[in-house]
Parts: sequence; C-alpha cells; structure tokens
Amino acid sequence: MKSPQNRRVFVVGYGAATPLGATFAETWRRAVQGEAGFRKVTRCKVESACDIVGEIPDWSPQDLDFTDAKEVYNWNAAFVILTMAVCKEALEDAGIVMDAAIAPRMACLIGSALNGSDAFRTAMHDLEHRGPLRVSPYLLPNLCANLPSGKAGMLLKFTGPIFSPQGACASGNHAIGIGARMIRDGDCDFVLAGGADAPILPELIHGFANMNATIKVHAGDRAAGDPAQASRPFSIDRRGFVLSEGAGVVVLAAEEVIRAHGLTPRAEVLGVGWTSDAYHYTSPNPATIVRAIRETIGDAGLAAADVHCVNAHGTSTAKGDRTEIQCLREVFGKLLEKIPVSSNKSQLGHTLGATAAIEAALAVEGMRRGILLPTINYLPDPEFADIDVVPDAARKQPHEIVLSNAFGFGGTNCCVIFRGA
Amino acid sequence: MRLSGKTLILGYDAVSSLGTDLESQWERAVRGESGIGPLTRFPLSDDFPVRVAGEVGDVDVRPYPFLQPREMAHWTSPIFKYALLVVHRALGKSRIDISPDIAPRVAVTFSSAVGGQDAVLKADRQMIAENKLPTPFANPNSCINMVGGKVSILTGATGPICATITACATGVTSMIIGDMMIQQNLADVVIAGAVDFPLVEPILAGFATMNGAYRPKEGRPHEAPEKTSRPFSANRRGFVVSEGAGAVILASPDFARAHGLTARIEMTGFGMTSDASHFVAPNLETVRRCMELTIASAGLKPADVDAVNAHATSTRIGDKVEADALADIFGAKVPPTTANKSQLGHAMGASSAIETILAMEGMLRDTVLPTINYEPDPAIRIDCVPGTAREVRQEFVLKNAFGFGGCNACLLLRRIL
Repeated sequence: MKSPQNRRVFVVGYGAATPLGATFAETWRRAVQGEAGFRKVTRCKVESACDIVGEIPDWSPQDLDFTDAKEVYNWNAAFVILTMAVCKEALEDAGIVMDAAIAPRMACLIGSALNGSDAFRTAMHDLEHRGPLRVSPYLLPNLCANLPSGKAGMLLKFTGPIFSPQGACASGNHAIGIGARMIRDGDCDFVLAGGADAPILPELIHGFANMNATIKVHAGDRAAGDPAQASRPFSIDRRGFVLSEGAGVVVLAAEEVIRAHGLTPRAEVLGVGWTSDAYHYTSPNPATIVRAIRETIGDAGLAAADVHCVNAHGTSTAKGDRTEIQCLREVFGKLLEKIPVSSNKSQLGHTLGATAAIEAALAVEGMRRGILLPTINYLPDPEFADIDVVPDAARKQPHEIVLSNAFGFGGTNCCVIFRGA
Repeated sequence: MRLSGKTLILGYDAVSSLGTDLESQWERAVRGESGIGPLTRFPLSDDFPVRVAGEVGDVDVRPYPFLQPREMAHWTSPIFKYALLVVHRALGKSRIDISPDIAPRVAVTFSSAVGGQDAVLKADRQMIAENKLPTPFANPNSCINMVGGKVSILTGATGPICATITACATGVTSMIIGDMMIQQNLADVVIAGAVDFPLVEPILAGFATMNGAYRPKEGRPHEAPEKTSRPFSANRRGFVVSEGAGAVILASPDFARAHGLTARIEMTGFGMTSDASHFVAPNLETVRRCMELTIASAGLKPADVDAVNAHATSTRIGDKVEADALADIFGAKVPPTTANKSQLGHAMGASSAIETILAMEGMLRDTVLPTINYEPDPAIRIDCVPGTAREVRQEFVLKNAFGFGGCNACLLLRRIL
C-alpha cells in the first residue's frame, strides 16, 4: 500500500434534498428563516401517533432531467434516484466538469441506515399477491446498499472506488471521515461523501414508534395543531425524533487538485474521530462518545478551547440529548457556556443515514456566511440552562471551527471538525 | 520472520454450505465436494423459480454463552448468530485478548450485504397478513450496521466501527478498509469479514426474475443440486444463492510484535474501482484496472502472482469478463485460477470473506482448491484447476471480488516465508 501523502482535504461543494427543500439552496434559504419541514405523512397510509414526518417537498423523481417513467419504476428504492440527483447537484455546485483525468480519481461513498426497505416492501407485496415470478428483477440491485453510488457513477461517469459506509445515523460522517482519509493518503483525489434514506414506510414508522424513538403526537401536544413544532431538541418537552427522508452529499477534494482545476475551497476537513460503544444496541454510551469528540479535536491538532460552535446530533429524544450535552460538558468544561450548540434536526427532523452529511453542508455554509443556524421550537429545559442552543432564530456570528457530531444505533460515534477556508 | 510493515492476518474462521467448522469445510473442499442441496428454508410453491441453495447447517450453541436462546431472542435473523460465532472463533485463533487497554484500538468493519431482511419480511408479513405491528426489534434487526454493533458488544471493541458495503464484494472491502484503518493508525486490530443469510422468498424470487440465479433449462428435468454451480463452464446457468459467514482478524505488525503474536499471511496490496457502466453487468476495463492497481500497489508484476481466487459466480457474462481481464493482465500465463463458488455457491457479501479464508488456508497447505462441475468453454481459456485440488506453492495470491452496482475490490495476500 502507498504510504500516506498527508494531503489536506477540503469541502468544495455540496447538494442536499431535505424536508426543507429539494435542493441545498432551498434548504439553506428556509433554514435561515427558522422554518421546519414537517407535515402529516403523505408517502403512505399509516395509523400511528407517530404520523408527523419530514418529507421532501415537491419531490418528483420522474421530473428530473436524467430520469424517465421507466427508470423511476425500475429503481423503486427511493434512495437510488435521490442519491443520483444530489450527487449531480453537488458536482455542479462545486463546478467540477468530469473528464478522463478526474473520472478514475473520484470515489463515491454514500451511506444509509435503512437502504432499500421500500423496494423490499413492494416486492413482498408482489410475492404475496401476484406470485414469485412477478417479483421485480430490479429488487436485488435496489437492495444493494452500494447501488446508489453505482448509479451515480453511471450518470456522472466517475470510476474510482465506491462503497456504502454504513453507521446507521452516523453514516454521513463515516463517509466524510473515510473519504477524507482516502484523499489524504492518495487513494483518490475527489470524493462524493454522504448519505441517503427514505424511511417513510408503515413498518418503519411503527417500528420506531414501538421503540419509543419517535415522537407520538397526542391531543394536547403543541405539535398536534402545528406539525412544525414536533422536533424540539434540548427542549423541556422533547419526546422523540421526527422521522424524515433526505439525502446529502459533500464534495471533498485534495488541496492540489483544487488549485489545478480552479475550484473554491469552502472548508477544510480538519479532524475525524470515531468510536464504537460495545454497550447497548440503541442507548448511547457516554464514555465512548466523549472519546470520539476528544479524538476529533486531537486529530485536528486543536484544543477544546479552539472550537467555536457545535453542530449537535441532537435528535430530540429525552435521553440522547441529555447524554450529548453531558459529554460536551465533560470535554469542554466551563468553556461550553461560550460555545453555541445547535441542532438542525429541529428544522429537518432525523434523516437517519443522510443527516450527518446534510448537517455538514449546512455547517460549512454557515461558516462561509457567518451565520449560526438555530435550534427552533425551543422551550428551555432547566437542565441545559448553561447551554446556548441558538434558540429559535439564526444568528449573525463569524466562526471558523465547527464540531459536527453524529451517533448511531448499534453504538457508532463519528465526529468531524471543519475549519472555514 | 521479516515484518515489512504490512497489515497482518492473525486469525480467521468461517461457516459455509460446506460445514460449520473450518477444518471440515477444508476437508470437503479438498475432496471436491459441493455444499449445494435442495432449498428447504421455506415451503416452495410449484411455481417458485429457485429450488436449490447452499444452506449452512445448524450449530450446537451450548458451548457459547452469548448464543443462548435467551440472549438471541430479539435477534431473530440468523446473521447475528453466525456473525458472533465466527468472530468469537476467529478471535480465539488470533490469541488476541481484547482487554480494556486495547479495546479503544480495536475497530470493526465486519458487515453484511443483505443484512437481516428476513426480520423485515416477518414484520411485513405480520402487518400485511395479520395486521400486527412490528416488534421494537424489527428496525434494529434490519439496520445493516447492527451486525457490527453486536460484534462490538460481544468483543468489547470500541475503536472505529463501520459497515463498508459493496454488495457481493463486501467481505473483501471490509478487509481493505480495515487495512486502511491500520495503516492510518486509526486502529491496531480490526475485526473484518461478512455474514449473509439471504435465503428468503422475495430475495430469491428477485434473483430469479433478473436471471441471476441458476434455473434449469426450460423443459429439461431438474439437475442434481450439487451440479448446478459451475463457474467458467460452457453450460453455466447462473449462481446458486448460499448462506455463510467469514471473520478475519487483522493487526498491525507493531501490535503483533508487542503481544508476541506471529502471522503467516499479510495483506500486501489492494485495489478498488467502480464501473460507471451497468447496474449488474460487469465492465472489462474497470475490472482489469482493479486487478492491475492491486498488483501494482503490492509492488509486484503479474508474473509474481502464484494463484488467483476468482470471483466467478457461474453467470454467463460475469465469468467471461473476469477471465478476459485475467487474460489481458497475465497474457498466456494466467496462474491457476480457482472458483470456490463451484463448491460453496454464492453467499453474497460473505462469499469473498469465506473465499479469502479458503485461499489463505490453501497458501499455508500448498494447495489450490478445485473448480468443480467443470466443462470447458471454448471462449474461456484459463486453467481453473478442474475437478481436483492441486499442490501449488504460493507466496502471492490475488483475490477478486465484484459486486452489483459496479464495485470492484481485489486483494493481494502474501505468505510470510
């Protein structure tokens, strides 16, 4: 294996499709205005108190410029076309024009938590009601976690390494972490790193409901009349996350190819830290979360005092948010009172494997523009009285170093530090 | 022994259609036997298109406290049981004790291509047929990275964890990413490998309707199951879907030295490419480049490679493209090239982990396993070690793995002499 080349790695562009909008630009525009992207579920019929979800508004895959009705019918795992669209947007945003020199040097790492569960459900229906010979020949490709990257490659013509780095709700940071290391070491020059999930299905809605993971909106809850208030990380009445669909991709590039291709660096991937819990399949483990954050700061060559703000994992569960704040307190001590900690999930809900990549893109854009995105729907919890969650409204505040946290079921923690370029 | 700084293999273990302990799998493989039999995992309707499979036999779990029914009650997909079993046994063979001191330096890349779809299927069935809600464990059972999570909980490993999925190349990819983690000093030890138990109805039906899985010729009588997987053969008719799991323990040379552990095999090179061409059909140029990158990354020339452990699944186009790529690289001197799937069937993401394990066992025993059921195909001119195992001294072995979606991953293994 070649020895590490210690190249610096930068974010040069991004794309996203989220409950706030089908593009990154629209997502950013609404995020800055403090809006939320939640509504009563329309993707499926389901009788559940957990029926407030985050759906991408106006998402119609058949209207994209690279699809047709047949393509959309065959690729019925929504994360496939979602990934293709967002990878395309990200490359265009970066201003990269594919050529024979770039293609073999571009990798694509798109993670996911629940992959092609939607295609599996359709196949199950066909099997039960129409017989085995009517199961789609595209079922297996739809179920392959790496297929979205593969289809993006067919559309965009890159031929470097592809695989799907899966760490449940931390998948996006896994992609960024591994991708940055691959560039640093010279395995490739560009990486499309991100995640995609389309989990708005009856089985999954009920499954999360029965785990007590998602919020049950009963009569009297403040979200009952206003779905926008369902996700409220760090609030006193937080009661579970809002299940959302979405995809996010950041384009990473090595320092020298940025210069050679006239691209614009937006932020440097300065440090990555990862750990696993060896503890419980869903409950977080403070010791290994603290270690992940410390290792990230150490890998970046920084001290805790250098971190300007935290893009929290903050899913809006009672226990998860408490654990994250406790861990931040342990790492930052008194410094934490001066470090804004906000959760984009208050606006986007929890897009599972996509969330870390979407939040990375929002964090980098925030640095470029000197804006901290808010934690909306905030009702103070005395337990977090010392924490500045950037309540309710975006704030103008220049900052250069962001810590982005992501933790996943199965006990996987992955944090990334970005420095504004 | 000279350590060159490469990542070392300290232990491995597998279950496959040939058996549930490594020694008996090896013995049956050397004898040229097949693990393929009738598909029995669920009742087959008359019109169900798939009738044969490579099933893994049951194991006696009594010696393993962590596999007791009480422990596993919520983890209904068999992927968890067999993953924990092979990881436990591989770690035992590696003689690594994951003490609290080293736990933060132990990473997990063990994963699965298909995951616990059987648990989703059960949840689906209950909802559709019985109008019953899924259990709280339905979603965790179907998170593919939960396999690695359970491995971490079992072993106490708290280093980086990631399921690095490339469909049917997942096993080899888990070793490549593990190797990177060690070389980048993110970990000292990596638990790599993969598990797949994909014999559930919609998955098999999907493989049949896409013309991937073996089906007998229309109007012909059914063939004996053990004859149905025949990579590189003129009459190959698709792959036979199998179950299996393989775990491989990787470690840095410094770690091995410090703990007095010796290795007999190291990972000396790897390569990864993607096709950007078709969602299932392979692409000659990028498959060839993947093998070339692998050989070059080891600092070798093609002539140094002593044997090839092929991906060869027994499909018309896949085997042809792989053989063409080998011919392009090696010219008239393609090394002995074996297709373990002729004996094991295709265990999806686990297949390349199990096959890598068999390749390493063969390196240590100076043996290349056979490609069974072979009937020459004039369009494929390679020495595929037909019928019976062969004695071959091997220092360098190339392992190929290719997955749907056009992802290619190859390894170069070196026997430490």
